[in-house]
Amino acid sequence: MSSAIAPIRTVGIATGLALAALMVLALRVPASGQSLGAGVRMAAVAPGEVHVPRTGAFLKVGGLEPGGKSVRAALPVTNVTRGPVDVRLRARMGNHDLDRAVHVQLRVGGRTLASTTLAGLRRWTSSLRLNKAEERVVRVRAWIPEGAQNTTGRRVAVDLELDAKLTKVSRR
Amino acid sequence: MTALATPRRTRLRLRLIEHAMPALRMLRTLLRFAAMTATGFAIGIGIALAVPLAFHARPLVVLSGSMEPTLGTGDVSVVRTIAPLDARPGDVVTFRDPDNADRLITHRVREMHAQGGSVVFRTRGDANTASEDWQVASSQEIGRVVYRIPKLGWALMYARSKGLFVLMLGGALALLLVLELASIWRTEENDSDQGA
Repeated sequence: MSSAIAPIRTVGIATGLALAALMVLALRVPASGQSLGAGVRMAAVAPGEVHVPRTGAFLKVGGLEPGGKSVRAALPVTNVTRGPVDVRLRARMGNHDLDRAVHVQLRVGGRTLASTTLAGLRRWTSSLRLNKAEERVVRVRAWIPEGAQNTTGRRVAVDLELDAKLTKVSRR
Repeated sequence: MTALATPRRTRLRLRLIEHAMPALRMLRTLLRFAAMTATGFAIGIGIALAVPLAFHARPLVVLSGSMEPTLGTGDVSVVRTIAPLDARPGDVVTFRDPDNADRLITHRVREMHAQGGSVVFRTRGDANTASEDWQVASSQEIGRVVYRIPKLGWALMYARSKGLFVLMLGGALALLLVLELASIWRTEENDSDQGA
């Protein structure tokens, strides 16, 4: 008889333990598993000599990961003066959190105006000549290279400041 | 007449008991199994509450319905300690009430981002309409709810409110139960030994 009781005891306790384990598993509150990359928001700030059609952010990304995909945006810039202007750009940020982590490339046609970090983009880029009423598209690419650290959940709002200087045209 | 009837009744009773014995044995086996299952379940729940303590987690009683239906009032939520930047939008986290440091709040992360040496959160209870914004130094810790045990919080709260007395009483009752079960097993074993 004792040999008959022992299995009941063992199986009963094992069943109870299994039920408790099943209950805990069923009532788990799962982690969301969402990624928390870096966020970059870029808006253009243009002077009166040039026109940028978009107001607000022309680039907005919330999930940049080190070694992940880059994000691209286009910023059309139009000369609204009666003569040619030299346009250059630089970045203004409220914080330095992603200064060294985020890389930015600015290209117009086949020409690279800048390819640097956000910190590097705090300096003016090389100039872009825009003739009267000419529109050129500045293509912006932003990414975080592999190995960049301390980027999780960081956010930066970048004002891409444009500077335009009227160019003297030599008359013949 | 009655002298003849008595042995006949006794025989009938004996026959009835004989017929009922297998069913009674089955019932006793089922009851024993149910008791063992309940004991195993209680042990399992005890483990589910105690083991997390060894792994930077602790059980907390849910006192409001702000997280219904994910967490109900009276549930025990087992909360694991994490760095703020290990949380993610959608996680259910426990943090100190920004307006009352003695109070803990458990709500779902709606948005979060790092800012300097801090992590800024926007959280909201699933049953709430208003969010709360708060921040914590990234070197500090918050909690993330791992699992819940429904309604057990009421019992824990009651035990806590009545102090050690209830705990001792509960312990004594549990001990009595264990001793009683042990005596049943022992009797069974003795019976079987004699039978053999």
